Amino acid sequence: MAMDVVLSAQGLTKTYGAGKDALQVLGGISFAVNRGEFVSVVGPSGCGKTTLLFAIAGLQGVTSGTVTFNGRPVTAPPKGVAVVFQDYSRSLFPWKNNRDNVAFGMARIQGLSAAQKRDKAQEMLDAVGLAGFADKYPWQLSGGMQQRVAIARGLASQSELLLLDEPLAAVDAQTRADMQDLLLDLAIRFKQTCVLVTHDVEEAVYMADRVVVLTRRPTVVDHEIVIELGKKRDQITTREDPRFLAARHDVMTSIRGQRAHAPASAA
Amino acid sequence: MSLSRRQESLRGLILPVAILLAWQVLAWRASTPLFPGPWQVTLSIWKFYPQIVGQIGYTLMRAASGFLVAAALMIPLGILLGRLKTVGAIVEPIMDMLATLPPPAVIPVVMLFAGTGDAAKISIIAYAAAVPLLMNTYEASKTLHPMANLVARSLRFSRLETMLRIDLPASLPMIATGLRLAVASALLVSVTAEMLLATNGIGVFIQRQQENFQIANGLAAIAFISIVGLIINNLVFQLEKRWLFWHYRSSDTHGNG
Ligand SMILES: Nc1ncnc2c1ncn2[C@@H]1O[C@H](COP(=O)(O)OP(=O)(O)O)[C@@H](O)[C@H]1O
Ligand SMILES: [Mg+2]
Repeated sequence: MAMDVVLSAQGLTKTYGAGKDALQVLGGISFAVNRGEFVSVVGPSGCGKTTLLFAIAGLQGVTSGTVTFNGRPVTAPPKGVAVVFQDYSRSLFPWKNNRDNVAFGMARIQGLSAAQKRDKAQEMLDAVGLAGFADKYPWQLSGGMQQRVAIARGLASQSELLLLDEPLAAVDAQTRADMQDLLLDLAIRFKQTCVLVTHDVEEAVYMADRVVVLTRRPTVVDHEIVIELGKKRDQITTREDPRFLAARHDVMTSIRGQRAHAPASAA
Repeated sequence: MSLSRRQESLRGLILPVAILLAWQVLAWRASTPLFPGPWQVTLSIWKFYPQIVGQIGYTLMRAASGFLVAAALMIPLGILLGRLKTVGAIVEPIMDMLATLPPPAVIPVVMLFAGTGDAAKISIIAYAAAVPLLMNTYEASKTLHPMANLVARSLRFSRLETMLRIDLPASLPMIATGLRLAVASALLVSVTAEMLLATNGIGVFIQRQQENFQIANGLAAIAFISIVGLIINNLVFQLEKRWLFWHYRSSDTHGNG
């Protein structure tokens, strides 16, 4: 079975600033994402995960290297890629109710009437468990619920690729576990190809079919690891599974190992 | 412990009523037409209100025209300048300079070029309203959180679409502040311009009455203007409640709020 590559990053480098203040964040990152896959990209805070995700999304240019989406180079946000941002409260629009915020995700989809978009938005809110909150406003919801609205907006556009930038970093532990399962369910249900960027090793392993492990700055891919746990995961049994523990050990060692090599001043 | 609405509004009335009474007492003691009391003013209102309302109509027409011209030009311009950071930075000092210039000061200059007709007056009013509108819209657009723009780009909005569907609504709270200031400025300059160069309008009415020592009539007209001002203010407030409820309710918005 030939792999159907949706996204590929080749040798991405990114340097912010110039001269004395130059900061090389990405040091030549390459990896690929296949159709239907859930890929986690894990790396320590500040290693350039957001930079990488924005580059893939076409939101920010790179210094060198190329991103291709469906075989075409990405220079601007391509059709078929949706992004869920880390800063959910600022990524939703307070003057729109939740249904209209979700419908915003379909603003550029042709061939759907306004009524169809509204129906679709409602359907997506139902899918993320916010059926009764369509007429409420984002600021009337808790953080986790706001991020669910943002996820619904990302799904509503029926994009081939959904990019998630630490979507659960700011929610409490219980909500995070629930939302991990929600995201996994949705990914299966909508056959959604996903790239999740996170600093949380457990989350990266729990969610993914494959984990891309990053080094510290200037960041490159340390190694990749396939998680052979099947699509269905469970907060209790999966996390006790020896294969989960082995993968977690592997990723953790790699990330902590880098930390050990880091200068003494680093946290 | 909160007072009921009625109690609160009753409290609010104490001071105005006291002032009116004191004024009336002083007027009685002075007993000269040059210092009329509220009672004489009320009589003047009764006698002259058809005329006053008619003249205010002219004034409001001009004020509204100038105001609308300013809003139609300055809100889009402010949004645009806020986006075009370099152009905005070049224009900013000029805006700051104009902001400190009292609008009536430009009346003679405009007269020189546009004469003394309605076009000239509307231009002056438009200028007066333009300054606070441009300043506030520009400031709002300039300080929008970059996140809004990222979301817009990821939704593949065009520049124009982003300005209309994201920048504009996100800037509305500050635009509303600009609108309030612009309304006040437009009214002020309308009356001033009329006093200097009009043939009709409430400014002319007031001036004629004062010139004929009909102080009570002049005050009657002034009372009318304040009532109109109050009504407009209330209208703006109602509109804000309707369109900006999200701004006052949400703690975390895109703007600067
Ligand atoms: N626009 C920028 N200009 C300069 N430095 C930046 C910019 N964006 C990010 N950085 C720096 O690049 C590094 C990586 O940032 P980021 O991609 O946000 O990391 P992560 O998402 O992994 O926490 C950080 O040290 C950050 O301060
Ligand atoms: Mg980040």
